[in-house]
Amino acid sequence: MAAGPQASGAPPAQKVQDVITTFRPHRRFRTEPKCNITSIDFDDTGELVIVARDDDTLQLYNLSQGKHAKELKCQKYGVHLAKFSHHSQSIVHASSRIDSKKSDVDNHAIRYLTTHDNSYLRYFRGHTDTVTCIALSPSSDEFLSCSKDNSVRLWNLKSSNCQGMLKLHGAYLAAYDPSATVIAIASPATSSVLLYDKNNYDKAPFATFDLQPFERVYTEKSIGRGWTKIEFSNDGKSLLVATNGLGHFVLDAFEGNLTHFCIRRGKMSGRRAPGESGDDSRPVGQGDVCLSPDGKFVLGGSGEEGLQIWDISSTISVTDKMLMPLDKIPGPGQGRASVVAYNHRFNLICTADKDLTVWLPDPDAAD
Amino acid sequence: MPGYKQGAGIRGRKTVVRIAPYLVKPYAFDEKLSVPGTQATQIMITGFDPFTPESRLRTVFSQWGTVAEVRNQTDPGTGSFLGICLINYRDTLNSKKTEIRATAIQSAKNAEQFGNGAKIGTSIVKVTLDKTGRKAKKLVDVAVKRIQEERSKLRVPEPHPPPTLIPVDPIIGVPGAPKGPSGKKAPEGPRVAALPKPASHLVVETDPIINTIKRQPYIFIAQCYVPVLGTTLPHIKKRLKNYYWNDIRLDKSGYFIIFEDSRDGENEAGRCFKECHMAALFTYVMNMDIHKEGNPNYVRSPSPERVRAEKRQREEMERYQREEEEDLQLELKERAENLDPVRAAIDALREELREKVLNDMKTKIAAPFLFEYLDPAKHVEKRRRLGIADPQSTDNKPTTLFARGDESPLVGTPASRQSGFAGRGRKPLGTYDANMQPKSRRLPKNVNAFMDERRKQPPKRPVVVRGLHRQMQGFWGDDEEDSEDEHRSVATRETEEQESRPISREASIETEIFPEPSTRLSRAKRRRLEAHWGEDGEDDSIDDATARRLLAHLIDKDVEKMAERELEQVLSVLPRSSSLWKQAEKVRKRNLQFRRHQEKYDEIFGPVDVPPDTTVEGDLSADKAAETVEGHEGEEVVLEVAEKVVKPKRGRKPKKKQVPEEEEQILEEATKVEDITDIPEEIDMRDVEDETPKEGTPFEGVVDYTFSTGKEPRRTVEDDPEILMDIDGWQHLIKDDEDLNLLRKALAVEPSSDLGDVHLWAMKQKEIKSLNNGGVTGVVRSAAKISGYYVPNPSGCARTEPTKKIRNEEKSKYLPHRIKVLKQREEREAQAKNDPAAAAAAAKLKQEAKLTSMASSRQNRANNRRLANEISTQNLSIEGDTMKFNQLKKRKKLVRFDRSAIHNWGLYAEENIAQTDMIIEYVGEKVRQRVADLREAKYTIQGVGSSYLFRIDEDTIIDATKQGGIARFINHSCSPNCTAKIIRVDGEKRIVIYALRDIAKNEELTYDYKFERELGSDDRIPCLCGSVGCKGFLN
Repeated sequence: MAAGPQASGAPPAQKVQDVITTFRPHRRFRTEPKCNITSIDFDDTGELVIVARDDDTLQLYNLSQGKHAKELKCQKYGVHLAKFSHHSQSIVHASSRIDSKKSDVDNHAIRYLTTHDNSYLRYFRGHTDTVTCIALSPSSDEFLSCSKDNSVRLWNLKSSNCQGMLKLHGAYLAAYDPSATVIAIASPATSSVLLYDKNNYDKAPFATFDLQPFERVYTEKSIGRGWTKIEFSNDGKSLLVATNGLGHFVLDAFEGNLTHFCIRRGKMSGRRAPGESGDDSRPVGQGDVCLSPDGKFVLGGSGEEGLQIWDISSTISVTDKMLMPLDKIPGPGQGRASVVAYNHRFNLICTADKDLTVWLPDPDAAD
Repeated sequence: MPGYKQGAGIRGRKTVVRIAPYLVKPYAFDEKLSVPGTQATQIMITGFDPFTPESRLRTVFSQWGTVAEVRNQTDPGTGSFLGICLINYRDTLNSKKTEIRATAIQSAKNAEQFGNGAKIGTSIVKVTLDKTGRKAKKLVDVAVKRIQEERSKLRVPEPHPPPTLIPVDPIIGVPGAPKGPSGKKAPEGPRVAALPKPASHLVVETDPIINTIKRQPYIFIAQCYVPVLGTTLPHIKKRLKNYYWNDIRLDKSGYFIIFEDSRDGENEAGRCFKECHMAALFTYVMNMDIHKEGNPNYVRSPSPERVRAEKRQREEMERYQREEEEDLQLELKERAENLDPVRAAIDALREELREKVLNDMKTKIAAPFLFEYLDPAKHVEKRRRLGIADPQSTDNKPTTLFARGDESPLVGTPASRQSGFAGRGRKPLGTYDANMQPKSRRLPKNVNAFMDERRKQPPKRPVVVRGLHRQMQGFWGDDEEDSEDEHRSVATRETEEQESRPISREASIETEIFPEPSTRLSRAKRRRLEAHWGEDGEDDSIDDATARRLLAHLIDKDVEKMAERELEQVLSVLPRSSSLWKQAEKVRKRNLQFRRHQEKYDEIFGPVDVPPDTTVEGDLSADKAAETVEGHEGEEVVLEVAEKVVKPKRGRKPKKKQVPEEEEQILEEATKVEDITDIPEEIDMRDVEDETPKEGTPFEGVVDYTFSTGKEPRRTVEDDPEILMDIDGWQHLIKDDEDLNLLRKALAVEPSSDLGDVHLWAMKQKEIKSLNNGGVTGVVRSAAKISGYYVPNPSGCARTEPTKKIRNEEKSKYLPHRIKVLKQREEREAQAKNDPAAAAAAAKLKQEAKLTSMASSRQNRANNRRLANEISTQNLSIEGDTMKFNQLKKRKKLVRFDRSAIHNWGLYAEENIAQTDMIIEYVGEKVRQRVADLREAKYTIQGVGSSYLFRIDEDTIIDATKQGGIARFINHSCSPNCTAKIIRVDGEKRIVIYALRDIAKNEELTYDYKFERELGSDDRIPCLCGSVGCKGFLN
C-alpha cells in the first residue's frame, strides 16, 4: 500500500514525521455570520471534508482544490457529528434541534443524508436523548452511536432498525479499532474504557481499562468529566482518550496501560465534552485532538492559537509518563483549534473553531 | 491477532497506517481564503558586492514593485555587510491610491522571476523568494560561522589579525549560495584601505596574555628591560631557538615565552632561565621572570557538576526575574487598562489629605500636649523624688554663653513680635505673613557674648528656628488668636521685651534667674510709651498714606489679631481731626479694654509657674513627639491625651464679647480647672490605654462620698442591674479608676478591637442608640427593638431556613414606612373615638374639597371629540382604519413615575389636572381569567412584588406586568384622587383613569383598587396610603 512518488500518477508523498512540524495554516474558510463548527469528517478519498456547524448547516469543502463545495441546510433537524459513510455522497449525522412537538425518539434520531440532492435516505430512530458520538465501521456499513440515554446502539446503514444495543451507564464515546473487530466504548462517568468484540458485543467486554488511577494522578480535578474523544491509532497499538482539560491519555490498546499523558500547554479547550450538561454555555465539541495517520503523533489544539504536537512514538522512561508538546505550530492569526482532524490520506490538517482552517506543510518552514 | 490490519477489508482506507501521506498540491493564492502570510512578499538577494549601497539595491528592485524594506544583512559581531539582502515588497497602488495595481506577492514573484541573474554593478545577483527570512538567516549563519573560523585561523599564526582582514564576502564556500562573479572577486579597494598598519604592530596583542596562560610554565620579560616591539619578536625567537618553547607572545606588559605544560616544559623553562637570565639581547638585558607553575593567578575552572549547578541556579534566578518582570508588565497593563482618572485623583487626594491631617495632628495636637506634659512645673514632685535638679539651674549653665548665634535666648521672646515682624521685604506695619519668613537659614555666626545686643549690626535676626511652639501657642489661643503678639503663652507674656533686657547676655542670665516682679498692667503702660517697636527704627517713618491704608485694615481687624501697638503707631501719624482717627481711636479703646480683661484672666488663673525655659524645652519635646507619633494607635493616643489637656485650658480664653458676664463664672471654674490639671498624668495614661470598645469613654459619674450610718458598711454606689450595658450603661457603671481597672482586668482576655478614634466611635454609638430610641439619650433599661420583628428561627439560624415568603402582616411590623402609617392611623382612630365631631368635620372638609371645574374639562373633551371626528372621517375616506386614531392617547395628561411612599413606584401628575379629566389609559396585555390566574401564580413564584392585573369584566383581565403602560404604577388609596373607569372605545373595553378632583402638579395619582374584601384572610395587604379615611387594608 506504500504510496510513494515512484508510483506513476500518484501525487508526491512525504513522511508525517518530516512534515509534522512544518504545518502552517493555508486556507481559512470564514463563516459568516459567526457560528461554531462542531464536527469535521473526511471522506474515504480524503478529498472532501464535511463540517457541521451549529447554525444547522453542513458545509462540504473540496480539499484537493481548497474550495468550498456545497452547503447543505438542515434547519429542520439540526446537525451534529456529521460522518461520511464509505460513499462520498452520503452522510450520517445526529440531530441537534429539539422540537417539543415531536417525541424524543424523533428528536434524537440519526439521519442518513445524501449530499447529492440533500435528501434523507433513512432515519435511525431509537435514542431518546442527545446522541453524543457516532462511529462508522472502517470496513462495513455498520456504525455505532452513543447517547445520553445511557445506551450504545449498533446500526447498519441498510436498516433503520437498531441491530444491537448495549445499556451502559454514561457511555458517551465509542470507536472502532482499525480492523473493525473491536469496539471501544468509553464511559467518562465511570472512568472506564470497555473493549468489546464486535461480533460478540452481547457478551461481556473482553477487556476493561480503568482510567481512574490515571485520572487521579493527572487530572485530579476533573475525574469522570471532560472526555471528548476516543480514538484508536491506525496501527492499532494506542488508544487515545482526549479530554478538554489538562491533557490527553494515550493508552496501550492491548494492555490498557498508560503510555503517555500528553500535557496540554495553554488554556483548556473551549468546548463542552459530549454528554455533559447543557447548562454549560460552551458549544459542544468533538475533541480537539487527533492522531496522525502513522500513529506516531498526537495533534491537538491548545485552547489558544496554534497547534500542539506530541510525539507518542517515543517511549518515556520516566515513571510519570508526562509528555510535553514536541512543538507548537503558529496559528492562522485568529481563532483556536477546537476541532482537529488529520486527513488520513493527505498531509493535511483541518482545524476549526468558528472558521475552518486548512493546514498544509510549508516547505519554507522546513529546517 | 492474525490478519489484524487486514480486517478492515477493501474499503478500509481510513484506518490504514500511512507513514507518508500524499502531499496536496499547494492551493493557489486566493485573497479571500488564503491565510495571510502564506505567500512570500520577501525576496532574498545574494551574490552582489557587499559594499553595494542599500539605495542602489532599492532602486534596482523597485522596478518590480514598491519596496517596503531593504534589510542588508550584517555580521552581528562586526557589523560588516555579508552580501545578503532581504527585500520586502508591499502592495503597489495606482496613482490615485484607490486600487492595488500590483500586490506585494505579485511583486515578489516578479522580482524572483526577472531579477534573478540581473546585474548590479559588475556582479550578477541571485534572487529567491524567502517568505520568513529563514533562508537568509541560514545563509547568514553559515557566513558568520565561516568568518569566525577564518578569523580564528588567522589568529593562530598571527595573534592579532587586523579585523579588516576578514574576507567580507561570505559567499565563498557558502553551500547553496550563488557563486557569481562577485562571490569570487572580492572587492579590492576597501581591503587595501583597511590595512593601515604594518603587520609587525599587530604582533603585539592588545589583550593581556597573562590571562590566557593557564598551567603552562612560562618566562616573562618585562617591557622595561626589553621594549615591546613587534620587530623584536623574531629576534627573541631566534635568540632562544635552542630551547623548546611552545610560543613566544608579547603584549604591552612584556614578552611571554611559553613552554609545554609538562615536566619537560618546566625543565626546559628552568634551563632557559638559567642560561639566558640577564643575558644580552642587542643592547638590552633579558631580565627574566620564571613561572614554572604557570599563571599564579590562574584559577582552575570549576568542576562540571559545579558549573551545571551554577548554571541551573543562574537559570532559576533568571527565570524568577523574568517572571517577576512579566508580572509587573501584566500588572502595569492591567492598571493602564483599568485606570480611572477620577479614582486615581481621589487616591492622590486621599493620600495628600491623610498626610496633611497627620501633620496637623502631630503639630497642633500632639506637640502641645507633650509640651504641656513635659512641663517641668508638673514634674516637680517627681524630680524631687528622683533627686533631679530643677531644669532652671541646668539650663542656665554658662555653656550657653558661647552658643550658636541664631539660637533663641533662653528666656526669650521666641515668638515675640520680633520673630514675626522682622521679615525682610515687608512693608512697615503691613500684616504679618508667615510665608515671608526667610526660607534659607543663615549659617550661625559666632557671637560675642559680651557685646551689646542692641549694637549688633545688623540687628539680631528673628529666631529662625521657629519650632513647634508656635503652633502650640496657636493651639492655646485655640481659635480666635492668630497674632504673633497674642500667641504668647502666659509664660512668655511674663517675660521681658528685648528693650527691657540688660545690655549683655551675661546680664540677662541674671535677670532670668531673678525675674522682675512686674505686673502686666505696668507693662501695658510702658508699651504705650515706647517710642518705637519692632527691631529697628525704620518703622517710625510711616507716611500718612500708608497709615490710612493700614488703618482701614486695622479697624476691621479682630482685637486679638492685632499687634499691641500696631494701632497706636498708626494713630500717631494721623491728624486728630480726621474721621479715620476717631474711628481708629474707638478701635484702640476696644482693644485696650480687651487687653485689660486678658490681664485679669491671667491673674485669675494664675500664671502657671512655668519656668522661663519651657518654651524651648517644649519645643524639643514636641518635635520628638511629632517624630515618634506614628501610626494609627499613636494618633489615637495623642488625640485623646491632647483633648484631655485641652479641656481645662479652654476656659481661659473666652470670647471677648462675653467677657464681662463670664468673668465671675470663670473665676469659679478656675478652681475646678486647677483641680483637674493637678491629676493630668493618671487620667491621661488611663485614657491612653482604653482600647476595648466598652471602655471607650472614661467615667463621668459622680460619687458621693459620705459617712455610712448603718452598722454594716454601706455601698457607696448601688449598681442598677437593669441597666442595659451599652456605652451609656458602662459609663454610668464605672465611677472611678478602680472600677475601670477592674473592668480592664475582666476584659483582659478579650482581644481589643481597633475602633479608630474612641471618642468618635462612642459618639456614634450613642447617636445610633438615640436614633433607635426615638431621641432618648443616656442610660436605658431596655433595648430598642421592634416587637414582633425578631422572630427566632426554628432551626436557630436564618441561613439554614428554607426561603419563604414574608407575609405582609410580618412586613408591617418592621418596615418603617408601614409602622409610621400604622401609627398615624391608630392616632386618628383614637382621636375619632375621643372626638367624633371633629372627625366628621374633617370628613366633611374632604367632601367639600371636591371643587367643581366641570366646565373646563367638558370643554376639553368636546374639543377633542370634534377633532377626533374630523380626523376619523378623513381617515375613513383615505385609508380605512390603518391610521386608527386613538382618541384616548390624545387626551392623555403628562405624568411621570417615581418612587412612592405608598408602594415601590407611583405615578405623579406633571401638570395640573382638572377634575373629571382623563389622565391615562391602563394599557396591558388582555388575557382571560384563567391565564391571569396562572400568571398571577407565576408572578408570585417569581417574586414580582406588585400586582399589575386589572379586571375589565368577568373573563377579561389586563395584565400590565410584562407589557404595559405606566398607568400600572398608580397606587391604591382609600381616599383617591382618581378613578378607573371601563369605557368602550370602538367597541372595545378600555380602562381609563380619570381625575376625581383637581390634581395639582407633582401630586401622586391614586385610585381605589376596589379589591374584594378578604376579611378572613390571613395575609391581607395593608394599605399605606396614609389618608384620613384609610381602611387599613386593600383587601
